[in-house]
Amino acid sequence: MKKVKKSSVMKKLLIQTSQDKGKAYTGLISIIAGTLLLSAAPRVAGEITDRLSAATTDLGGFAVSTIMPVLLVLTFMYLVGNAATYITNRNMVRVAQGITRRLRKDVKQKLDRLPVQYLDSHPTGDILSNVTSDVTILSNMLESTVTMMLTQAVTLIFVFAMMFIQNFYLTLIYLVSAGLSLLTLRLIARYLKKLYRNLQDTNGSMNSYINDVYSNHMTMKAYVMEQQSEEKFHSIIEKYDQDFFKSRFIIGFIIPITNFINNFAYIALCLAGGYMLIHEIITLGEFQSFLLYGQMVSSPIANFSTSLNNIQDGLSAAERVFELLAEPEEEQCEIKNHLDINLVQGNVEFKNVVFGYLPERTLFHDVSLLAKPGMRMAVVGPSGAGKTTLVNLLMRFYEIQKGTIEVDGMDIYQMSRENLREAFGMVLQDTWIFDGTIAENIGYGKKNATREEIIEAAKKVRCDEMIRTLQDGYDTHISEEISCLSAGEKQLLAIARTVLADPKILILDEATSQVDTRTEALITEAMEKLMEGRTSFVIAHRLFTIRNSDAIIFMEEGDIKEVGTHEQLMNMNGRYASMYNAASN
Amino acid sequence: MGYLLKKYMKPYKWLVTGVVLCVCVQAAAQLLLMSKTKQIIDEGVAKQDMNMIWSTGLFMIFITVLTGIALGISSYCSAKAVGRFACDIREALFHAVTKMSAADMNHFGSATLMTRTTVDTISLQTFIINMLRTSMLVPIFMIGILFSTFRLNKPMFLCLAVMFVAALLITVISMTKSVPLFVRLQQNVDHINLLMREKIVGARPIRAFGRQEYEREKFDQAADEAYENAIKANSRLNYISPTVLFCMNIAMVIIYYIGAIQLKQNLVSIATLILFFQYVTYFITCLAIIPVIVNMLPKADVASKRIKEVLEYVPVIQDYQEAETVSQHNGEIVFDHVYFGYQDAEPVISDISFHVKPGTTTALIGATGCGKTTIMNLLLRMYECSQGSISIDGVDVQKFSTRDLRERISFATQKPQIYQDTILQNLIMNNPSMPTETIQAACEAACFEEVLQKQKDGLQTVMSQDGMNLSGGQRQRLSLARTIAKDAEIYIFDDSFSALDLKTEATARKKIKQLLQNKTILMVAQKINTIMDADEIIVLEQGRICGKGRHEELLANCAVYQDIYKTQCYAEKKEGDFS
Repeated sequence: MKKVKKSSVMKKLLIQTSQDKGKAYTGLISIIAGTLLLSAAPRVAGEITDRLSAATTDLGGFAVSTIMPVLLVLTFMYLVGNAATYITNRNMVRVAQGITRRLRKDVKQKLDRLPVQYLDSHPTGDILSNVTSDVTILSNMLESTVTMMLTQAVTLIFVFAMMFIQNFYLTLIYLVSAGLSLLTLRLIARYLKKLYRNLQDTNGSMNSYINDVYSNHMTMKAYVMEQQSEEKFHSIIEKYDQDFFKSRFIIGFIIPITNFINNFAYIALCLAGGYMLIHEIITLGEFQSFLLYGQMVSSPIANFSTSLNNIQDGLSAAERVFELLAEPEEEQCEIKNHLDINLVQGNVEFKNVVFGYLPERTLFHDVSLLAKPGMRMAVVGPSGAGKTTLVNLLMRFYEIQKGTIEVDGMDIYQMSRENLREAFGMVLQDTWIFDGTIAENIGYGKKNATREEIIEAAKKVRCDEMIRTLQDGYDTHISEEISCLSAGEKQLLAIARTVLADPKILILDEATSQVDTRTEALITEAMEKLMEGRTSFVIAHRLFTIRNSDAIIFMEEGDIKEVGTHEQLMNMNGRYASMYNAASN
Repeated sequence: MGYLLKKYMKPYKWLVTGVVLCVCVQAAAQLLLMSKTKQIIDEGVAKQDMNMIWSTGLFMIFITVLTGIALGISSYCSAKAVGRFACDIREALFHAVTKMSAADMNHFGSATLMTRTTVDTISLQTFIINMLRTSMLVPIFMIGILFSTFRLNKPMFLCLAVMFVAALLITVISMTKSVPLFVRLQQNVDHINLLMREKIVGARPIRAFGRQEYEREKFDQAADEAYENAIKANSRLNYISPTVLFCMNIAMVIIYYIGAIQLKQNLVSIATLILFFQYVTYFITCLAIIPVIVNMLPKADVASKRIKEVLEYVPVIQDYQEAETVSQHNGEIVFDHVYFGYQDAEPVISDISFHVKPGTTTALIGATGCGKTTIMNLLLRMYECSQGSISIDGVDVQKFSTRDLRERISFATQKPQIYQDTILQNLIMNNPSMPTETIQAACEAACFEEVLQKQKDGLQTVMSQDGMNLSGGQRQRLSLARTIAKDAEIYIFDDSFSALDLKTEATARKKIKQLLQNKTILMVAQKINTIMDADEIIVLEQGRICGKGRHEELLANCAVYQDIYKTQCYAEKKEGDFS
């Protein structure tokens, strides 16, 4: 855990509260007011005791009415004090939730603006835990721990002040015991750290063994390793049990020790109080208030380390969230060109493009190619040849290092990304399905698409029939995890989505073995239909697609090696030709 | 949770009893300590007797030391009991999972079983330790206080009891009302997380369609809903603690009033009143902890339910009681009209019949999801067929003991499954006495030898999780070596050459064939050239057999096989895979 920048994280969190400034201030004021009243209450109660004890020694008898005004004051203090606590809770929850909501929205917007490169180069799980659990941890900390800690801190200050006003020596007893408690807690914590690290290591190896066995379950069964696995697990778990016991036993001593110290303070108070009472240094009421104050200060001190840990966790989570928010976004260039979407011709040209994912490893060395409107470009090459790189550049997910890419003669680096992407349609192999109905998923292709348009698009790619056989038809709920659709059917939906978007330029990835033959035929047909009259880049896996293309882009080792029609490339007798010959033998 | 506690805490009941006793001692001692203040005021201060105060102090120190010892013992007992309890549950879970078949694994999914054995057990463990250390103290203390106050002064006790019941009612009612709201809040948060996930996974399509605005509306709505629900759910919790505290405060005020009247009638001493206040203040501290405990309960309950589900699960495949000892070891396989499907769903495979003669090679080919792997799993009895029968050497697989059955078969999984152990251990598996020559021969045949030579520690090299310190192809070679090192009659290769480049694949196949002469071999593949020279090829489509025969025969008369051949024929002959 990094300790740096904690103060700057705190500052950023405070800035986040600025929109709820009123609520935050109200909360703060009510904390102070409420704690003040509730910590003064034992003293007022002591006053009643004093009046009562004065009255009993007064032989003339007393009227209950002598304590009535004080009782009323006490009731009033309790009422207002607790009301203030309520106001605090109410406001603090709002402030905390407000920050959480704002952070969620900021993070979400950030995800839209982060370069694809960032998402590609960071594990999805990491980003996800950053935007989900970190925000939740932070929100929990803000909601409960912060309020609790503030209240406890203010209580401690007020209580000690109240005690101090009444009697210095008795206060000293509590000060010493509080100091001792904190000191021993620190000592134990330091010792525990080592034990905890041990426990964590053992826990880690236990978890990884469980993972090992569970995920290799099939092999364990096939090789009849059940008994052997259980024996090994047993020895691991014995070690875990020992480590767990050690650390737990030590943690277990926190309560007895603080309890011990508190009880001693209590006894000391009784003895010193008894002495002072006999010598009339303090009154009975004061003694009583000290007894009650003792109870009020012991629990905040015992909870102190837990709260501090929570705060630390929360701040670390906040730090990670703010780090994400500070990541550089997709650069916006100066917008000089604008494509009129309705008038796009579909002319795509690469001029002397140089590109590499890492600046020191160039993949495209001086690539030039031209796709005229309506042309079908097949992209071929062995796996890992960099076929997706082409997609990344065309859609401007990544920036090229040199040269230009033009659409209809306009440099795509001089138009806005949104404008550029509007002209393109894209169907990739791993289909993206979001949580929603089928209609919503298809309708995603066009703003405010009507139901008729959606159905028409589905009909065009021949998946209307398939959708209608589903229980809720177009209103069937689908999501990435729960889905009644096969991979091929999802791809059909994605194609329908693109049909609806009606782009002038297409990027398609042909279906692979994931799909059964019947659906595959449907997909091929749908894609054929989609490509009519549009410039298209097809990542091809089949021989016949290649031969029918207007041009073939042959890629290998991340670079474009050859470009031309089938005949041209065959005549060149280069890599493509040798591949083709080898295959058709 | 009761079930788990009853069953798995039983061996440690004496330790738990020890904890309970110690906690009782602690509560009694604490209350006794408080009551001593009354004595000091009534006897010491009133009679100006400092000696009496000193001796009381000494007695109090004695009690405190006693409490300290009791707490130490309880710390020992609880750590021991909970640790053992949790470990026993872990072992029971582990045992349950090792007993499961592939079908059972599918039923749960290995990820959730993993969570249940690790995370859920930890939350249960944490909950119980909290219960033993703190939660149990609360009710014991409260009962103790109620009892002490009852003995001290009846009218004042009555007042405390009434206000306590009122406070309890308020707590319970508000909490039960807020639970559904919190459940809804959790759903909101899950939904938000789902949307975030979609954002990350779908970065390209979202940008391609340029619909960020639409997304934003959807997301903002979800975030706003979560906000509203969080406020609503909390609004009930916000007032619980101040109201409860106020109830108890009012009790104090009333007790003062009663005290004043009784004092006038000389029924009580002021010291009693002071003691009473201490009790009430302590009582309030206890009350404040209740919501914390109640909040922990649902989480622990969910965890224990999930654990219980696994522990009580009855595996689909049970060992046949009177398993026959089959003496024949030929390696003949017969599938007779076999069907398999999950419950009511459409069958995954239908009417599968074929006969594998001893010592021959049979191959299964077809698209993903056509049921090839299922057939292998049925043979290993990882699943039970719904109809029809499978027999090995003339005996139904259900009549074998699973141990005997699986000893006869050596199986290479589709995705290599590598243990985080040495390479040697990954090769010999459950046969520590495997001769070195066998290991060497297997490595040689699987083309793993050359990989092994590059490893610094040779066979003693330790694999990382999922064998990530090897490449995909290297992992597959290791898995192949393991499979052929095992001495069996039947060898199954479930698409186990897919990650090898064509040259290595050809070499490995040739060598393996030599090594496994006269053994029965079953191969599953997606690529035709892997299986072209098999004695028999079975073509599957959508769970049915649509062709059987040798390569040339199928090429001549099986349409599906022709299709597969057409789409693959050219790419395969080139050095790279084309997809």
